Amino acid sequence: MSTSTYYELYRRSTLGATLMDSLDTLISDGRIEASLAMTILETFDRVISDSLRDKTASKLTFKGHLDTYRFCDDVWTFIVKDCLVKLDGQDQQTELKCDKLHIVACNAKKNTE
Amino acid sequence: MSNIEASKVYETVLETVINDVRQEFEDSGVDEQTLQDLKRIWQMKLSESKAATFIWDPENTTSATSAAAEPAANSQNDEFGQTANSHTDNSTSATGDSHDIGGNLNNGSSDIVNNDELQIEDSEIKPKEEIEFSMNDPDGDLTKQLKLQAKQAKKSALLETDEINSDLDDSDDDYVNMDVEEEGTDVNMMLCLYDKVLRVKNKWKCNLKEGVVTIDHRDFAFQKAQGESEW
Repeated sequence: MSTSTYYELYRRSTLGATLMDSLDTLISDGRIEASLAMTILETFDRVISDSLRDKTASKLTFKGHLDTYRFCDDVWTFIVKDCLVKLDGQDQQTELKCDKLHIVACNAKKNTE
Repeated sequence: MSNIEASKVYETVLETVINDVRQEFEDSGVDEQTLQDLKRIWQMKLSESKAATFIWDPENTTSATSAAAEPAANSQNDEFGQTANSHTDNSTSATGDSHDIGGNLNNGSSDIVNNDELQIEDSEIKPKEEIEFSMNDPDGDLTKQLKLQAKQAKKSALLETDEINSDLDDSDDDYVNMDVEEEGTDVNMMLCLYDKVLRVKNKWKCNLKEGVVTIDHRDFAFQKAQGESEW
């Protein structure tokens, strides 16, 4: 299956979470089957992965105090505290501060099992 | 202030996903209307999240000018971001029709089916609504609470169907609570891929790419990210 080669990671993003919420609504109203919802989510995995790869240009840097690091199942998880995030967009620069930034990162070279 | 790139990526992803699953809908015998409803609900939920501004945002047509005319006002409310402000602007300065649109957006979160009823209520008790708006939007607490409650209700409803396991309810509740916290809106979350993660003594460097990040309820998309941090 071609769909299985994409990470499900982005389902946790705002875009993914709102999609899952919407699908939940339709399922609980009995308008679609759960299996169709799963297919939609797999499509979402593919589309968002491709879009982030091909349609973004911004560069981001962050500095902070690394509170927690974890490497498990080829996934890095960091919790950075007192984090300063700089974003270099095409036309705009944004600087943001946050107390706590949770980072989940999957391997860019996906292992084909 | 909201990242234009994130808005564009989100809009593209939404359109592409909806178009790409059309065949699946047909194959499963689900009609086009349901697909359009999915799109509508998804768009509405995204607008509610205020993570970015979208072309389908209902306030775009009504308050784009007022939001642009009052950039200074935004500094007062940094915490809640510009999109929150444009909502407030909308509720205080807009009249008549545009008000109904705002009402739809806010009430839609609680129940989509009741939209029509709520809309009627809106026009009947406009002054009262107006007060509620200005409290709802900048604060956001009530909306947050309602969302959490709805989520918990949904989850516990799922758990209750499994009556045999009622002994395990306590631990399940813990799990539910944890889950809600984890997904809580206060979490600044970055989701991406990593190229390299390096550590020298307590200094960590990482090269990340192709991700989205939510900071203070606003979303940004990026091609590359570099991080330096000390443990």
